[in-house]
Amino acid sequence: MRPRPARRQLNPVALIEALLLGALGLMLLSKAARGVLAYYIHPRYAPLVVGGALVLLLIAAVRARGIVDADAESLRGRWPGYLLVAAPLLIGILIPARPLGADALPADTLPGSTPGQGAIPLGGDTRDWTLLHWGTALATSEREVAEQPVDLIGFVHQDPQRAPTGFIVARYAIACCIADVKGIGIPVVWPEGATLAANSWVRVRGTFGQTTISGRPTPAILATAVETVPQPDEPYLYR
Amino acid sequence: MTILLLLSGLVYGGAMVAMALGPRSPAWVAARGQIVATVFLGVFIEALPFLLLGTLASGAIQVFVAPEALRRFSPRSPVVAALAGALLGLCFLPVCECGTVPATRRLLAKGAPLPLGLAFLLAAPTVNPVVIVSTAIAFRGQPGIVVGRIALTVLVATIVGVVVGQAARPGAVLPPPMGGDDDRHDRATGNRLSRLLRHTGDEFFEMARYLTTGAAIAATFQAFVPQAALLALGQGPVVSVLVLMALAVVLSICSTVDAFVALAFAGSFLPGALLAFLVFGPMIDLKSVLLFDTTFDRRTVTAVVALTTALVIALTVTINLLTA
Repeated sequence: MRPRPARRQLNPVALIEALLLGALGLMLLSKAARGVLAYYIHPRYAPLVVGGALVLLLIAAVRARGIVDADAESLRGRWPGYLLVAAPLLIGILIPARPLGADALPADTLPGSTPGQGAIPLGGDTRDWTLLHWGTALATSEREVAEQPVDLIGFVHQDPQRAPTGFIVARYAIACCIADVKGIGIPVVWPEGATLAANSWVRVRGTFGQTTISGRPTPAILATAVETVPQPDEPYLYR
Repeated sequence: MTILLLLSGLVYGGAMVAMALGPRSPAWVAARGQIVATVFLGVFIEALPFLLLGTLASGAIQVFVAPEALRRFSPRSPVVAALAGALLGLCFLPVCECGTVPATRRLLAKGAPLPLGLAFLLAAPTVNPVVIVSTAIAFRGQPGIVVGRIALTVLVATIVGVVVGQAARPGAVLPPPMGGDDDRHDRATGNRLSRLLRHTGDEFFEMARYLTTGAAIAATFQAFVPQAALLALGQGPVVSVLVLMALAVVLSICSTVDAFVALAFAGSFLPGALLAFLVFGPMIDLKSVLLFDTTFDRRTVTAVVALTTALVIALTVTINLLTA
C-alpha cells in the first residue's frame, strides 16, 4: 500500500515572511524610482540599495513557495521580530519622504559650520561655491573670503536672534547617510528676509562680508538678490 | 531578546520622558517625529545592503563549506591557534555573531583547539571583508578608525583566546543540543540556491530586528539629545569609552552595520570611544552573551566577558589619552 501524501496546509510563517520581505523590497524600489533615496543616503549608495531590494524580492519569492506546505511552522516567539522588521516598512510607507529642514538645525552649528571629514578644495570662482565650501572656508580660514562674490542655493532658516537683519541660508552635508548629517548655515543680510517662509529654497547672490549679531561682528552674506527656487533633486551636499 | 527589547524600551522611553518634561509645542513634537523617522530610515536603508551581504555570506558558508576542511589546518600552539582564529574570518565569512556562534561550535565539536575557537568567536564578526568594507565606507577619510578597529579586535581576541582557552576546565564547551548541530536553517530543502536564499531570509529576520532597534535608538538620540549634551559625555577619555561601550551592549547591533550607527557619534565622541563601540559591540552585547551561553559553560562565558571588557577599556582609554 502506497503511503498517503502529507496534507498540505497554510504555513503562516512563510506567508508573513514573504509579505514582509516583498513589501520591504518594493518600498525601497519605489523610493529609488521616485528619487527620494537621496533624502536618506548619499546617492552613490543608491545602486547598492536597489540591489538589496532585488535580493529581498528574490528571497521573498523563494519563501513564498512554502506558503502552502505539508510542514507548517509555528509562529510562537516570532512576533516581536516581525514587528521590528515591519517598523521601517510602515514608516517608509506612511510617513511622506522629506529631507531634513530648518527644524532639525542644531543652533550650535550656526553661523558657519564644522566641515567634517574630507577635504573640500577651496579654489576657483567663489560664485561656484556651495554652502559646504563657505562653511569650510570659515572653519579653516584657508582662504580670504571677505568681499568675495556669492551665488548659492539653500533653504531658509528664520532665527531673529542670530539673523536680525535677514535670515539664515542653510543646507545639510552628509558623508554617508543621514546619521552623520551636519548643518551649515550663514546669516544673510536682506531687509525683506523676514517675509521668506521657513524651509523655502532660495538662491542668494551678493558678496561675503560681516554683520553685527548680539554686538559681535559675525560673517554674513550681504545679499543683492534673493529669489525663491524649487528644492534641488539632491537637497543635501556631500562631504 | 526580551531583555534587549526592555532595555531598548527604557532608553527610548527615557528620551521621550525627557522631551515631555519641557513645554513643547505640537509643531515641535511633529518636527522631532519627522527627524526620528528620517534618520531611522536613513540608517536602516544605508545598512540594509550590508546586512544582506552578511546574511548571504553566512548562508553560503552554511550551504557550501565543510568545517572539516578548516579543522585540518588548526595550529597546535595556543598563541598561533588564537591568532589564526582571530584572522579566520577573513576567509570564512559568518559575518555576525549569530552566524559565528554555530560555526564556532562546529569547529570545536570537530576538534579545533579552544583558543582558536574563542578568538574566532570574538574576532570573526569584525575581521571579515564585509565589515572591513562597511567600516571603510562609513569612516571614509578616517583610515585610523578602520585600521584601529581591525588591529584592536585581533589583539583582544588573541589575548582572550590564549588566556581563557588555556585556563578552561574540561567541560567548558557544552555539547550540541539534541537533534544535531542546532541550526534551524538545515531544515531547508531544495537545491543549493534555494537553500542559500532560505537561509539568508531566516538570518535576515534574525538580524534585522537588532538593526531596527539600533537605528531607532540612534535616531532618538539625534532628534532629542542636544549635541552639546553628547559632546559633554563624549569628551572625557574614560567616560566617553564607558558610555559608548554601554550603548554597544544595549544596541546589540549587527557588526556589518554598526559603523553607520557609530558615525552618528563621530562628531561628538573621542576616537578611542568610537573604537570601543566598534570593537566591543560585535564581541560582547546582549545577544552575543545569550548566544555564548548556548556553547560554553557559565565560568568560561564570565571569563570571556570580563577579560574582553577590561582589555577594551584599557586599550581605548589609552588611545584617548594618547590622542588628546
